[in-house]
Amino acid sequence: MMTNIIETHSLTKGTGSQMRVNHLDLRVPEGCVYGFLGPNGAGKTTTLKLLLGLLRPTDGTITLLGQKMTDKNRLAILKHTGSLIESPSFYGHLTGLENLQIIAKLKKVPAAEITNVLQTVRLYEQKDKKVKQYSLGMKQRLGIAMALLGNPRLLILDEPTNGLDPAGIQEIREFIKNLPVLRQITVVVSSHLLSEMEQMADMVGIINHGTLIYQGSMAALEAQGESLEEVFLKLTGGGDSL
Amino acid sequence: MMNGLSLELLKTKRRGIWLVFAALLGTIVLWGGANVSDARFLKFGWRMVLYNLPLLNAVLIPTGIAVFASRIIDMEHKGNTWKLLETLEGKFELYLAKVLYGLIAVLLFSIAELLLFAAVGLVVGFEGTPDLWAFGLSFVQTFAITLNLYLLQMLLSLLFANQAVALCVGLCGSMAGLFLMYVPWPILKNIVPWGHYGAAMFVSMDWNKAQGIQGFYYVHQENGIFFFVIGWFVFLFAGGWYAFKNMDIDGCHLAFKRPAATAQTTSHHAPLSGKPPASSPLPVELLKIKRSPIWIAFIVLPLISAFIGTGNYLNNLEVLTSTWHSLWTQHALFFCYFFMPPLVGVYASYLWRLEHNGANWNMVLTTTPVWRLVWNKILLCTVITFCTLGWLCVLYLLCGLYAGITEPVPASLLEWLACGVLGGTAVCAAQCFLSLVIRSFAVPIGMALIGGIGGLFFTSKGLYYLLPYSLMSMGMRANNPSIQVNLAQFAGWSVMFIVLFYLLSVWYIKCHDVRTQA
Repeated sequence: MMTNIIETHSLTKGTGSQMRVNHLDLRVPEGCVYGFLGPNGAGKTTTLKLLLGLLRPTDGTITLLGQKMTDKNRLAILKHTGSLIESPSFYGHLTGLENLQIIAKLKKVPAAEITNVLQTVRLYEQKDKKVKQYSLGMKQRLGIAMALLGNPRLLILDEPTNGLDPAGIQEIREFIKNLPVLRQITVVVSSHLLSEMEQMADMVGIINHGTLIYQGSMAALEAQGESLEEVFLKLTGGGDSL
Repeated sequence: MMNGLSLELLKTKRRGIWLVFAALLGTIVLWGGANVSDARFLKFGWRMVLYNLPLLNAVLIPTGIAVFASRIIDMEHKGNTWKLLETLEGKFELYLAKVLYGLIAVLLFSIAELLLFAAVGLVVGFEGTPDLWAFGLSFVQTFAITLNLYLLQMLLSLLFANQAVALCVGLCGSMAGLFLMYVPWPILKNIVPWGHYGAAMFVSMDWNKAQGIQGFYYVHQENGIFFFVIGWFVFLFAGGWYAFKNMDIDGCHLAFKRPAATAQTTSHHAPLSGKPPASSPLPVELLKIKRSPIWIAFIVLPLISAFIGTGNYLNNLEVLTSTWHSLWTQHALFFCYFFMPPLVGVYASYLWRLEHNGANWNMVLTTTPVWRLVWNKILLCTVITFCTLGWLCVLYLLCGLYAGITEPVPASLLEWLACGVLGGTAVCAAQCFLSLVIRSFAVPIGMALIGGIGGLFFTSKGLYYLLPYSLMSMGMRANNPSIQVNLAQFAGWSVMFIVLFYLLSVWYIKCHDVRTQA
């Protein structure tokens, strides 16, 4: 039997007309790439922030890695996760290496691992440059490197290919696809780019106006219509902006 | 815990924290040193240092510590790092690390301050030996009171991502600290944390009008200031932690909550109701500062000045006999030299921060000619400065009426205001240039404070026109309303500074590549 690495029970943020996330029951099985899809403003980022305890839920519970998350055990659980939410976080006046040193210390990870992740995201050559001089794509890679430090079991990435060039997008995509196989890392990745999701996700959750409108395997979703795009537009009510 | 602290050290690499303290110490020692190294005072120099320190601290530290706290908190706002840090370390560890970092910095600062004054004493040759217990007590006081101010500023910088708020409070604090020294209600000094430097003073001056300073003697403070300092520490430390813990709004930004926009309905194909939005009649620079808290500073600072200035005037009626003129000095002197320059600095920093944010420069420089952009900024800054000085004048008149001055209002008030605004424009141009080049919010404000004190120094040498800061104060006749100003010279230097800094700003933008923060 497959265990779920993330489970939420009627997770809610906001009330009335300000409802941002509405009674969400997420099930993310361990060892998959879970694509979290939805139009702009659907509540993707809010949900991911709730999962990380950055926002306090109005209602509902979150179980991460088999433990119900509370204020007390939050950080202990998050030790086994890595995340990149919205745009990457960094100190612009410090170098890429120094930024990673900070994260390594916070995660209590040996400094030797830094070289590893720097090579993984191909930033090793630029490690001594100040981050404010990085290009958008390089900052994004640095964000991914920060998330990867400490060999997490669960990776939560919010639109990780933002700002990357086609080669970079493909590289990150292949990289994410291989994470469950090569490193036993479960990945939750949000996006509004359907083609991208089609190529890397095994499981899909679709959220619209804060409500989960589909959750299941990618294969089952694709079977519902001629193309993923058509199914997606039908589910989210078409004319809305993507 | 050591981990958290060493991280803070790593994070503040290249932030120039030590420069903030060096500038603060330098200003204090130069100013204080100039006061005590007079040959007449050498025989009681050691005590005179202890007498002078609380005043210097009260004027300079609140603003300096606001700059420092903003330096180490703002980097987390700018780097978008709260959401990252909070997934990695406990909130309390993060809070404690920030507190400890400040505590150590304040500790080193307090030690360095006394060592520097000891060095001054040895160099200029104070007579006798210093009383070690007195220096020790002074050190403990500076340390404890400054630590409280640090906790307060840290909290403000945390709560309001917009650093203008914290910096304005720091300025108000400097102002309150200074004025409270001269206010006859001692309990106020105890209540307000900025007044503690004055409340804790334990050296008094033996002075009479005929012979000047005769000496200094120790007094025993019986106002319970010790308990007030401890009380504030407990309140700030615990209250700060409580506020920090309960911040949920996307990490740490506590934004001013606005009423929700009209509720989004689920029917998305409903026809649009109401009028189509009209284009706003406001000029674009004014639109940019819509809903910004900048007005708070320009309302509040003159109010503090007027309140305390009037109180002071009413309590010294036997000395201050020239009615309107005396009242003017009470209102304008400290305000123009110490507070107006940093306040203009806040305005200028705020106006340029709008463009320094994110990738805004890309947009601005592709839509606005540089000469007009710079001109707009200086102009808007001047308008706000004019409002501030005008507000000061309005308060002055109201307070005069309240104080029961029956003589006619001095007709030259309008001239003072006009000259003040012309000199103020020169300050605006200078600060706009500084805030354009230095992308930090707080640093140009600290420089303005130093500039204002430098202006006081130049004025005392009769060279007020060499700095824009003293031009403004001289224009306002802040130190003596009956002084005659050579108007042609005054206007010439003012216009020269305005044109100089305007051209420098335009040149700077034209000759440097655009730098964005995205």
